[in-house]
Amino acid sequence: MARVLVVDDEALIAMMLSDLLAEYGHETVGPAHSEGQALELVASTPIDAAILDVTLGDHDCFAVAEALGQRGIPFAFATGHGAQAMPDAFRARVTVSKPFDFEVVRRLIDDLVSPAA
Amino acid sequence: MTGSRAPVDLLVIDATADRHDGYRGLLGSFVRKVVTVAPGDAARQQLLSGAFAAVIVHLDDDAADVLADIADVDEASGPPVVVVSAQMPDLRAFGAHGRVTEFVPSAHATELLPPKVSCLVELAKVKGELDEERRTSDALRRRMGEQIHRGKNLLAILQSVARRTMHEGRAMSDAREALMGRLGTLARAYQLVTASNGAGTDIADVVEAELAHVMDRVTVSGPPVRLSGSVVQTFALAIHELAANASKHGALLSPKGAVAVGWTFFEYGTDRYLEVAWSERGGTTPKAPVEFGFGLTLVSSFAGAHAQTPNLLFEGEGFACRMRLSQDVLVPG
Repeated sequence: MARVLVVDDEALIAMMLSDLLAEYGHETVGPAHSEGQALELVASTPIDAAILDVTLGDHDCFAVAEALGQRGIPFAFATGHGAQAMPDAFRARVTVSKPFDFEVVRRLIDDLVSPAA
Repeated sequence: MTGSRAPVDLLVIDATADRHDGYRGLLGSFVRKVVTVAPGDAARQQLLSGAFAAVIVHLDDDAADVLADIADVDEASGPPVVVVSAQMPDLRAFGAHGRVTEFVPSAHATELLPPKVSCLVELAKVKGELDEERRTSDALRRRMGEQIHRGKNLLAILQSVARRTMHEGRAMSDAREALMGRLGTLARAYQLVTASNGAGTDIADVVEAELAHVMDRVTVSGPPVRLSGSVVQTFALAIHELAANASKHGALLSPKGAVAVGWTFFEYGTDRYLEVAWSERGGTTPKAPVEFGFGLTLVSSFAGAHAQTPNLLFEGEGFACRMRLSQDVLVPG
């Protein structure tokens, strides 16, 4: 069982990711609905992996991504925009698009929490 | 350039003030306005304003002032410069000084200048129209991108609602009814957002749309507040779920029960948010469920970062909850 941070400003989508994580035997950290909440959780809570919505209200999630990167925590992005909209620094990261293909999300979570990732 | 019209003003730089009236008379019929100015700071300022379709420069013997004035005219994007002088000037001297398009001998300026100017003005108009078209298509492309994003988001929300509704381990007929209710709410919310045309949706409209079927048992109060499109669907769904719960297990189950919905602004330090309170009364003492269903999970997501008090209360004569909407989901004004 891994502890996976979910960051999405859309409560319903965060809820769905939490449900999926529970279904696959993992625990949700959060969900955080804003950049501030997410940064607080990253600083204060043990986290094994994270799934980040790219747009968070008026903000984006890249500060959260950086904080995770500094701690060596694996993460992936979820976005309704195309992967080409990503800044260069994060283009190599895995991106799943919304609406979700649940099979893709399942494999993504497997990859994120497996020690090889 | 901010207006939608092409810039069709002319600038004449001429050291001899006596000729200014003549220029205005000669060229006034081609353009909205002919601005005449002596070389120097005033001329440079006018040039920098960028509002001219063309610049006429009248060179007397001493060309140095004027050369300095037009030095800043951008060769590629600045207005075309027409030089009027007694004889062909040394155009190499202009090479480093912006964009000289034409030379007109001053002896023939009266015949030659008007047709040249009229051509340049036409060109400027076309260029302005092209710029305008490009701005419009950029704006359209951006709006289309937003629309596509919103569509994808809505599909993801539908996935979430459908998964949750079909997962609650109840009979198919129940699940069907719950799903149709939730989809109806999303459709109404989408309608309200679309109708607002990006100007925000009045929170009272959202609440009243969701409580229309029980409005005789509900009081709604609060200042006018507009919600941004991103939150309307989730908020509408939360209200829908609260009403459904109240009808199934809460105050609306008993004939005397009623619900009050109100909202007000709150401040915690530098954070300002809208607090929406839902309180039921006249029902039986509520019992907290062992596990939160879809509705209460959704309501809890509005707890806010600074919840000092529990935002769900199962006590007294009815269930009560508070939802906090942060400033960034409200439309200012």
